[in-house]
Amino acid sequence: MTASRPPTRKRPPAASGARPARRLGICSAVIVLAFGALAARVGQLQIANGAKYKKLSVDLALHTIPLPAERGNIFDRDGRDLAMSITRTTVYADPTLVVDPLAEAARLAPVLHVPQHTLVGALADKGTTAQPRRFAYLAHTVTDQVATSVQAMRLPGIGFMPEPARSYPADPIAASVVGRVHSDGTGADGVELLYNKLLEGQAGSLVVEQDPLGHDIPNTERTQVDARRGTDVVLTLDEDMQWQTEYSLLDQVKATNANGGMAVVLDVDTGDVVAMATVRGAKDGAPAHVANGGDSNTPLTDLFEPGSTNKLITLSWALEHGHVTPSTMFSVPYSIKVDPHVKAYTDAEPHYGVPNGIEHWTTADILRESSNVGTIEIAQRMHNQELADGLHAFGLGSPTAIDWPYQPSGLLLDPSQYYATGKYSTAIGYGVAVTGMQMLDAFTTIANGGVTRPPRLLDATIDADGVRHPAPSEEGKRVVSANTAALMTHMLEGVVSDGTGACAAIPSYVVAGKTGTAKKALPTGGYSDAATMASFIGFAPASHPRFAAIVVLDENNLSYGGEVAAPVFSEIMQFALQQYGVSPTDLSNTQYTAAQATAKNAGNSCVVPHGAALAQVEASQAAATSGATTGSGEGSPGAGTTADSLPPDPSAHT
Amino acid sequence: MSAQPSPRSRPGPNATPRPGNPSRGDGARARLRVAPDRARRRLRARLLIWGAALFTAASLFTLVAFHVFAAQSAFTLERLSKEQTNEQLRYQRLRLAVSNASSPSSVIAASDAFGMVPGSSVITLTVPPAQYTTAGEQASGIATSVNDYPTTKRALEP
Repeated sequence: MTASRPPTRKRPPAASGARPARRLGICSAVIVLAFGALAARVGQLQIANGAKYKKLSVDLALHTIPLPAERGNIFDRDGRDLAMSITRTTVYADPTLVVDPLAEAARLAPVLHVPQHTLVGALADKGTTAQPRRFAYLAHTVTDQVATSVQAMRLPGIGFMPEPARSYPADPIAASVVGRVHSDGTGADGVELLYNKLLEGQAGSLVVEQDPLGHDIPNTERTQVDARRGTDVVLTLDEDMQWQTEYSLLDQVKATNANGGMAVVLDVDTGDVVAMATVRGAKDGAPAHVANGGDSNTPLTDLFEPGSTNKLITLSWALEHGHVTPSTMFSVPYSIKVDPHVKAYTDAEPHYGVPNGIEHWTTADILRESSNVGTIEIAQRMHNQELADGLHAFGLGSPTAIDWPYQPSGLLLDPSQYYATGKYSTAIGYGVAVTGMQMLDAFTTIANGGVTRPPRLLDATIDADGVRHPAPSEEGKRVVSANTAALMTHMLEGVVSDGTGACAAIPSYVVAGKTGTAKKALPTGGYSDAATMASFIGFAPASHPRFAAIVVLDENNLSYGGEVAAPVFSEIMQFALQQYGVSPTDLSNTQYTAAQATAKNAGNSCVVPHGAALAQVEASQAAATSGATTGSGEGSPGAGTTADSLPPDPSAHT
Repeated sequence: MSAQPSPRSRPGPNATPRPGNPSRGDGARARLRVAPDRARRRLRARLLIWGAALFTAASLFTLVAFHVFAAQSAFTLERLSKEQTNEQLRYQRLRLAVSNASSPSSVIAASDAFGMVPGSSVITLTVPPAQYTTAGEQASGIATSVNDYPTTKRALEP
């Protein structure tokens, strides 16, 4: 029996027996080729050109956003803000989005306080097709009110961004000391420039992946290097003392129609400069005013011939080297001729009212009467080099201990160039140029018992972590003996009690000091008979000096230091002594009573006419409350800023 | 009627070996097993597909949910960051306002507005030294004598 194969399902008829295998082979080949091509492309992208595409990718997606460091504050000695940084709003435009430049400029101009034609230029310049102009500044660091007003307009193409601005809350107090910053935030002058490295801090950065529209891509890597805030700087200045010094000086500058003035108050115990003022006189229609930021800080930068205040050095050195004692007698004529070829030196007024009158004065009397001839007679007992050594020992010819930009050393004649008159001119304060601070240093040395007291303006720094680092104090060096200093102090008391400095007297305290009246040198040679540098330098209380101060007025007329500078000194010093609670040393007012009588005899009122300073305060306050100020970078004070509404959203773009 | 052998019945001992299966000798027996029926295979395949689909959907949902959560957190972070910035700005402005208001110029202007004027002179008060009682009566050293009062009072009056 033949086993028959059971019927099976019929397969579909095939074109040929090799077809399925061929199809399979073709498909496989296609797949292999496709994947091979892909693999080759991947290899090309990842290996051959990997670095290039990686860089492209990083450049496209990764954005580094700079994080500016907040600039450190500047404080006075009590921690009150003299300069601080706040974030303000800067208004900019994207000209390609601006529809009607003329209309927008017309609306923005009165709000931004920018000329309309300037705005039109900024808004209408759309650049080229190849290089469209997408950004133009309209106004830097505007006030919050202005920013809010502009935002409310909802103008197309107008945007806002935050920008740090420097504010000076006490402006213009100590403005010439504190200085200002450039529009990029770096120090331009003053303390802002001097300690710029400390104040500016260290900028940080944020590396973030963003899409083409500038939005952060979530869940991507962000690398942030935090900005390090700048170091705060604490000055030795006292805001209240600074105000009193500036406005006493300002009132006197206005009253005497002076070109300007300077004053410094220094703590004898520590060398701290508690006030340093510069006042500008009226000029070109502008009234006299306290120096603004950007003006030079004249006590440390301007040179002048000190005149009679230099007699302190001459007499101290003569006492120290035994050439004279306070009671050494001199026959002092009205004039003295040290060389037949040069003009005779004279005192301020003829003695006894006649040209040939001769006074018989002691060394103390010569200082008290500020006699040029008497001082020259004392200088005649000294060698040229000896006098020059004395000037150097008291710090003339060298910058002071305060590290200040562009501080001059002063000008001193070399003893070899004294010739016939150099020594005598120098002895009475001519032919030598000094800064106010240098002269104050010399008096502070006497007040400090013959040892220099290097002045300092920097009290401490406070780093970003809040740690306070006191500034080191320089050690003083002895210049004259304590006995010489005590003798000089006693002689200087006489200048105030019965001499030319009577107007410097203060009730309940004993003051020691010296007047100075130097005729101003003319550009054409010689000296003016009508214009003087009037000064007074002194310290108080004389028995235990706490403060030393200098007041200098640049006068257009023949004004004496005892008349115009001494009253300002008296006001400033009285305020300082009371402000710091210094105990009175002369409750019986012995010196004050004697000085009043002396001043009355000389016809001096010893009064600083007030009112001008207050008027200026009122004017500045009125300007501040008007709210019209818009900081525009350099030199823009923050006066008038108030704690109002928050600034608009910096990212807002209408 | 002769019964036809089942197509799945094993070949008989005399059956001719199938071509293409040369390794099997006469004594070898093909190891065959019963294939599951089509319905069960389909069910298994269906379950597998559904499972894979569910797994994929769940994975996608989880991924989207995580992304949404992360994005929401990013928004929260951004909002908090903006709040922090605003508070810092507020602090700066308040501090500036305090500094402005407490500057000597502002104080002078305000006092002037109140009609205040600087004193013409300063009066220094001198208190006479107190009379010490004996140690037994007053160990602290503070003056207690009633008789001192008029003297001191007079000194305090300008």
